Amino acid sequence: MTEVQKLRKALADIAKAANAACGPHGRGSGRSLSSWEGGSHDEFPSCVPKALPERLTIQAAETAMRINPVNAPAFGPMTGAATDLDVMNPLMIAVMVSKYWGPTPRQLTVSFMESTPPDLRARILLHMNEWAKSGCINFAWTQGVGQVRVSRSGGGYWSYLGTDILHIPQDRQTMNLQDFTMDTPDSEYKRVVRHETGHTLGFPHEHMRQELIAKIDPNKAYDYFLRTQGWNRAMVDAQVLTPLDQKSIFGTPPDQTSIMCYQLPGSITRDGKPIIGGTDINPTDAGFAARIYPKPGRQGVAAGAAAAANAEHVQADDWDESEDVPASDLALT
Amino acid sequence: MQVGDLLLFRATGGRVQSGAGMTNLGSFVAGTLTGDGQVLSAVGAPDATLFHASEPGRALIELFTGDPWREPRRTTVAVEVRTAA
Repeated sequence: MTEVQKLRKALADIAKAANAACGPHGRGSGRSLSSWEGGSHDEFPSCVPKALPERLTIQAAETAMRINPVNAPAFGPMTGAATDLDVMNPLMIAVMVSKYWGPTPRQLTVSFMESTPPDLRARILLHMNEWAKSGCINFAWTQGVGQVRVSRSGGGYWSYLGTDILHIPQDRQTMNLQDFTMDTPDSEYKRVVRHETGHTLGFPHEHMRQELIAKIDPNKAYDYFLRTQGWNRAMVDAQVLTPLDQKSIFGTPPDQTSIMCYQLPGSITRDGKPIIGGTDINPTDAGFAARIYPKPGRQGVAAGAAAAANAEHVQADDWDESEDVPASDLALT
Repeated sequence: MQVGDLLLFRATGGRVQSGAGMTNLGSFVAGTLTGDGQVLSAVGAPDATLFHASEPGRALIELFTGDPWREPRRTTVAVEVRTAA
């Protein structure tokens, strides 16, 4: 029996026990559980989950995602760039792989690839754990090989995305923070360490949202990055111009001040206005982390697991289509 | 360098500024090949720029390092390519 099947069976057993404790009318009778020991579960009507008619399943899925982004299918980010490369773009291959750690509280261990003074380690971890103020994932240093491995070597700033870090060979870093020292301004710790840690938590680049990419003039972008970085068009497409798959994105509105959004100059936008970019975790970032990585006591995803557990016992329901609730009447907040 | 050599810089970008002998093969993002054949790519700017010593000559290579979204640093490297011995 797989773990998922075990979970489903456990939740179904709990549901049966709860139903058995209720009286014939579905309400508790006030007697102790032992008074039912001689009774049969078949004597009492049990709760039967119902399924929506098929014509409403897509709308229902969209509603579920709007209410709680973790209800979205587990797609990873996807780009359409570099189709001329011999090796398939890894993000295209990864489109079906979830990068999300899940709603259960978790501690990720952190180690450093180079000798790193204790005060610098502590400072980097302090900023990584800024996300832990709102979400249920925290980071802890380990003397051994961490799940998150930070290097301060050359190569700029980058991180593998979410659960991908578990697939990286242990002799390689999962995050790069080039040249970070105790002399690095605190503003850079906020802007870079917190941004890269967001990637480790599974958050993609905010500036790759379709709505923000639409503001960029591609030809201006190509000229700019060729001049300032020597990038060819394929690299500019991959870094700046290819939008994330809408289904892969958790559902906050595009946010130029998100810590996950790069700063892009007005010289490459259609209207000349820069994309501001984020310099720190903003309230939307923190609120989003709190929703998809809820702190204990705010775990709301169990309902989804319970629904999955009862899927085998679901009865399809239906009504006349004229009775369907219009989307405009859904009270979504 | 000798003709045929590859030159890799830990840089976010680069180009041949002038001269001959070197060809820019592009900039690359860190990636890992997993056991089941997937390629996992890091998120962020490229961290490697590759050049090929294609013919004898002298060239100036311009490299870009640091944060490409904010005041990248530029470094110029002079390269001499000789015929392979």
